[in-house]
Amino acid sequence: MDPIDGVLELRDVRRTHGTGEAAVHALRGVSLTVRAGELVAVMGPSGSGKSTLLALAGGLDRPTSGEVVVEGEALVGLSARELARLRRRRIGYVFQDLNLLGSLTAVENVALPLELDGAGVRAARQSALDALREVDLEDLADRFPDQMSGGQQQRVAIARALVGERRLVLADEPTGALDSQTGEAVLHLLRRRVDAGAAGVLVTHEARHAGWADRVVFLRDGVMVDSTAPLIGVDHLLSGSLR
Amino acid sequence: MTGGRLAAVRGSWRTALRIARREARRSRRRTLLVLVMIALPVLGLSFAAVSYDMADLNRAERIERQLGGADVALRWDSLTAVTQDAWGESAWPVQGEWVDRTRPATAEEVRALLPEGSRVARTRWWMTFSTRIGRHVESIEARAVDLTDPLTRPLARVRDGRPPVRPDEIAVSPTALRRLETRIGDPVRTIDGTTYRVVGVVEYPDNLRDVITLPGVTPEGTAGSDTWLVDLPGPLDPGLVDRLNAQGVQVVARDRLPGRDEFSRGMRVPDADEAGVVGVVGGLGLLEVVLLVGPAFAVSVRRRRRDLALVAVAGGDAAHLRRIVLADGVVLGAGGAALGLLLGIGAAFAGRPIVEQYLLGERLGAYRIFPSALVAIAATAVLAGVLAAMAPAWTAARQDVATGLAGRRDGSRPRRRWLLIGLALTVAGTALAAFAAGRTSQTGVLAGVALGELGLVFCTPTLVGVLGRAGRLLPLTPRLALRDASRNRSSAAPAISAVMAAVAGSVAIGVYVASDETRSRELWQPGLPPGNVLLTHSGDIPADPPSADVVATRARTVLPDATVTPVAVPGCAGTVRDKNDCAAYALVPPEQRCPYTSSDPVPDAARRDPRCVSPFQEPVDVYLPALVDDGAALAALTGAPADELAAARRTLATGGVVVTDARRVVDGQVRVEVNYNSGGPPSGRLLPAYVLRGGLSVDRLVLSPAAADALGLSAVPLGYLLDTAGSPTDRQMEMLIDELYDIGPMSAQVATADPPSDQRPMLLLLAVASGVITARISLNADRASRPER
Repeated sequence: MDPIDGVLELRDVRRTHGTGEAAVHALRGVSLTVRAGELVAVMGPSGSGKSTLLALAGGLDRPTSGEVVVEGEALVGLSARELARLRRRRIGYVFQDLNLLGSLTAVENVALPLELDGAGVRAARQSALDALREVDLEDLADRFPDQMSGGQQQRVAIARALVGERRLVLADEPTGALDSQTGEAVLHLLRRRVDAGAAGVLVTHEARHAGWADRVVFLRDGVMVDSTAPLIGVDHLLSGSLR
Repeated sequence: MTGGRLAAVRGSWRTALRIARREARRSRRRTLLVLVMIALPVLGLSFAAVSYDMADLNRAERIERQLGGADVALRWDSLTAVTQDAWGESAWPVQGEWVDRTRPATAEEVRALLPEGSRVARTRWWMTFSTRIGRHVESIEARAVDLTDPLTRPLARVRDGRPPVRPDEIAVSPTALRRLETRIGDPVRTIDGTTYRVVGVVEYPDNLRDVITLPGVTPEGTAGSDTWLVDLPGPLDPGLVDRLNAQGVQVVARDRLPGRDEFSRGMRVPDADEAGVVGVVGGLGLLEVVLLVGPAFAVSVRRRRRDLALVAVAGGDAAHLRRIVLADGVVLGAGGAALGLLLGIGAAFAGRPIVEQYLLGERLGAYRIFPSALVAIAATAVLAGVLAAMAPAWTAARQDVATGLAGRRDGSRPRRRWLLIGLALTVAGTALAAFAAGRTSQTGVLAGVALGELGLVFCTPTLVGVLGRAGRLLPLTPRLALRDASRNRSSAAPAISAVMAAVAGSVAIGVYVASDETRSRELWQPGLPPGNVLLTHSGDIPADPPSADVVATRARTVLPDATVTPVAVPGCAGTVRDKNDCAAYALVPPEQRCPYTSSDPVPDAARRDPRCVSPFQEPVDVYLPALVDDGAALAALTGAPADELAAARRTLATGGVVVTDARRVVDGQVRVEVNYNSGGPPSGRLLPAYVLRGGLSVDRLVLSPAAADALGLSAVPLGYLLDTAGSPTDRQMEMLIDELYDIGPMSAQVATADPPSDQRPMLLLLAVASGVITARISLNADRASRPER
């Protein structure tokens, strides 16, 4: 295997659901590298394979072929348990909404990966509080999700995504359920965490959100059609006029 | 397990329990449902355990009830020296056989054995107080005790009035007061004509049922069991106990007597068969609870699939997800256990008076619980919760994360291996039950049923799927219901299994009970033609028993068509007219005897050999030994046809005997032998015999008076045979006994064509139980089918 300097590396990744005539090719030979301190936005129409890419990057799904490497560790040979351990230690997810477990407080939600990994209660709580402080929510540490606004919940999700030694955050439309102001604040936070040394992949539909990224990759029908700096010809790319 | 791994497991359990606790608070209806289903059996079991523990008196409580205010209690029942245990609970002769005292000891005799200055008070228990209540003669337990004496006063509690003091006074227990329909100040007349006046209501902690208290002084010769309560002038001297034992006196003291063995009074250990039945029935109960609770967890997992997917995204592996659902079982099992224990203990404490009065008939000991049993019950409840959550936990661990995140239903099909395991268990259970039925092993049958049920539970998801596919042939409404059940297999399967287990279990028990009843009917052998009654003299045989005409006159007031014949049994001739001292029997000639001994394994040849197969069954209801009769009682005794009876009577008239077993007769003669209880070799002789083949299929020997005489026997009156020409009811039998009481107390046994047991209430109960479970699950299913939150 070639040396990899990125936190996340996808090499000629393909993902096909079903077989024969019923086969659906969700991704067709996608390659992507995301380095530390880099936020990559993934854009594309519905069904283009954005979420599949994120699932493969996070070890929630396995590629039909190709390689996914996270911080130098190839995911292809890992067992389900090893993949889970990888998610606990290195990968954080942020979804559009309902990111948090309703029966855990904010700090407990953030501490969840650490506790699952065997960290002591105090140590996990302290790390979680540190992470919450990073997202300016230390004061709400003991609130339950239904006692927080949508934006606050997303910030807690970002804190959980990067708690401990995690360096890869995979965000799937993290602002989709928020108003524009709150959405911008969340993206600002994400950007700040990436600038602090993490690597991020941001799936979004909106070009202005992609503007927070260092790079934008465009997917269409499971193929990466372009990779560019943000806000350059985005609308054209989405409409498919540039190939 | 490495330290890191252990810490991870601990951490994930901690998180899982925290989530389960919070979820229990958030999903109140589900929590309540599960808590109730787990708490109910726990309540019942803990109620039983605590009540049992309070009823199981400790030594101090037992001694308190025996000693009252005394230092020691003495029982002087033996004429020879005895050895006793350390607490005076049992005694046995130092040498040879136990020799009973022929008369009760007097106070002077007891005092003579004790140190100077000792004070004694006698209590006499187990006497009979017979009186008439309405038309019934009722015998009530009576106790003669002076409740004004400080030594005996603590033995009872005077609830009203005062203790009896004069010879014509009595006190009654509260229940006896109601039963006798009397009040303080009213007279009560005994059967022998003595009249007493009720002066108080007295309750004994060891017997809350009907008890009459007589004053401490009772007439000489009154039957009963005496205990002497003693107030010693100083501490109990071990030497005194030795001296009392040497005189045949058993001593109960407040403290352990030195130098004597102590016997354990631990709980009776059930034998392997009992333990097996209890284990299997308990296991079936646990399975039923697990299946009833299971759907609630399955519904919960379905509703929380996104939460579980989020845990997986956060790094939870299959084990973590399993633990989160299992933690639900732990938390709700523990909650149900705690609730059930609290309610059970509370109910046992609050329900003490009911248990005391109506169930046990005695006061319980101090308020206490039964910690070890309660811990076991609680552990079983938690186990039930965990087991109920197990299948949903496995389902949750198999859930596809992406599907869960999208909130979609996981369309995974039931695994083939569960079907195979289910089929294997069902076949094995059926085979075991069939095999055990052949060997009449209750445990085996129940274990087979349990195994078979478990197998069906494993098969249920597949069966539901198959039925769902077959639904296309059904009308719309049942088709929708079937498809819904098929789509929601994870919650429908345990519910269907619970109904199936309840129905299968009750059907299996019902079939067992019904078969057992059929077997009992087939084995049932009345000792007299059905409907006929045997009246026997109670107690000693009267020297001048009432004539058959007198008995008939009384009996016909209750049974108008009854004919009465006196019956007698052979007894030793001479002054001792005891019917038990001499036993006559017709000998089976050597050539007719079974050549195999009972200790041999029964060979097939023995099964086919007519000499080894008795043509008769032992009567189960009325026992009758050989009789002495001139033929008058034969009809009521055997119900044989008239021509045979006539021939039999002719044989009896010529000094012969009548038998029903043809194997005993050789060349028209039978050898009758007599065994003597006093020892000595049996005597006997050959007598002409008639074989009565018709009538009741019971082995009988009837000696003519002349034959009895020839054997050196006399006819000892046993009682009367009543040919009732019908089937007397229980009420008629009660009235008959009442009617005859005046002319001499008698007991009556009626022969019935069928065994008296009636299992229909049991079968009805089973049907109701499965109906309740089915209704309960239907409600559950309705709840599960509501829109998700």
